[in-house]
Amino acid sequence: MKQRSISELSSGFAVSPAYRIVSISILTAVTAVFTLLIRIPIAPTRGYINLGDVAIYFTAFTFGPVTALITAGLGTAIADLLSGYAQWAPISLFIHGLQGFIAGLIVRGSIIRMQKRIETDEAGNNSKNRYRMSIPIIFLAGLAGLIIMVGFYFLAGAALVGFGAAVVEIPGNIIQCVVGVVGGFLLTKTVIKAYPPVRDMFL
Amino acid sequence: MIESSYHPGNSFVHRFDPRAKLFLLIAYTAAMFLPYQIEILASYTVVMILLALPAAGLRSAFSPLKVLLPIMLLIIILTPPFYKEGEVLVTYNNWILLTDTGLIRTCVLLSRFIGITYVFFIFFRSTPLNQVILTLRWYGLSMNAALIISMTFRFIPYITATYHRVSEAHKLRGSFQSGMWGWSRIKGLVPVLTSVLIQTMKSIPVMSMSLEHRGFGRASRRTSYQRLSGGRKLFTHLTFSVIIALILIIPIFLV
Repeated sequence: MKQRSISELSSGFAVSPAYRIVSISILTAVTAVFTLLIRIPIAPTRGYINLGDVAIYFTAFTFGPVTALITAGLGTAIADLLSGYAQWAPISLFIHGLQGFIAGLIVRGSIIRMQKRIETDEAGNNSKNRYRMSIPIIFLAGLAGLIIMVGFYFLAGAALVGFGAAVVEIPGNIIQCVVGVVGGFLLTKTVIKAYPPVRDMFL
Repeated sequence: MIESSYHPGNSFVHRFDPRAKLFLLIAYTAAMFLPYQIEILASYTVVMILLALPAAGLRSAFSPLKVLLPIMLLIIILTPPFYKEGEVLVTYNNWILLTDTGLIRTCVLLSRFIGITYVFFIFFRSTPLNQVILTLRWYGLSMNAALIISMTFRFIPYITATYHRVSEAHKLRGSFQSGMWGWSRIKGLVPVLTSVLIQTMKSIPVMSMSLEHRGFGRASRRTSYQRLSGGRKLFTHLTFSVIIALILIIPIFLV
């Protein structure tokens, strides 16, 4: 696949509408499946976290903010509808969409700056670093997403189920978000290594 | 997984126009946050539970309550401690366990939560997915957004099957076991999820080309395989929904 320039990366108009529609649909389905099916027990016989946040951060790191906004919001909302928690669907649509968008925006800025640095560098041929994500940027993206997710779910929970029940959800949400950032970053690295064309899918 | 949301039937709820049903869903959900007295809020919730009987049948009508039971218990246990004002109802060793304000607030939260859950349950139980998407289109959802939602529901079973296939293959290799938990489970899952993601992403270019070859993006007049019927039935049902929505908010002005 052709390497794209800064202007193509920042405008996003180099990608065909069909490509964008299909990639958003598939990643939304991935997010829904990760949320519904894949659960990790966080202690023997007690409590589960789902991997929806792993899919959200993977999409944000690999495909960018706009794709992450739609896939994260829609994927988690669909998962809520299918699992019998439809009343949370509009809330998940907004909160996880915002979480994915902000995380993708932070990473996108970093990638564009890095590419600009490489393209203006006279030596300029260290293409291995083109899409390398620094740990501080990942940490910042994860922190921003965590604040948004935990904060807004607390507010929504306080309105819907009361302050007490909303407070009880906070530790689980924090664990889920942290696992999401770590898992999303690990998956991004392994997927890019195993399937390099993913680097050019950044929208 | 997808089929469990909608159950076919011939009740008046099933026959009610989905556009009017969606309007009522939004109106009812918004109304549940208005400052009603607890008796009115509870009666609205009971009406919604009774409406679930024709929509879902006697055996399934109370299934949302089973799913909500843990959250309901959390509300009952954790809400009263935050409301100590008012007449004290229950104490223990000089600890105030329950006041009338706490009791009312708990009932308000329970009624609101159950009512909203049931209105969503009734809507998705009595409306097939294609009609949900057509309804959203009628209310202004773009064609591209509707296409994304349709394709997502098409891909979910495929990705689910891929995940099961890949995780079984990894279990046979001994690298991933069901009984793992915590960090071991995450480590075992990474190769499985990597394989699933790569397989799904490899299909993106092919599907995009397939969509373009079918004419996606062409500037010709769009056709529609299915439509929602209009006419007198739609007018009647929508008018009925607006009247119900207005009746829901009358108690606010009477009190």
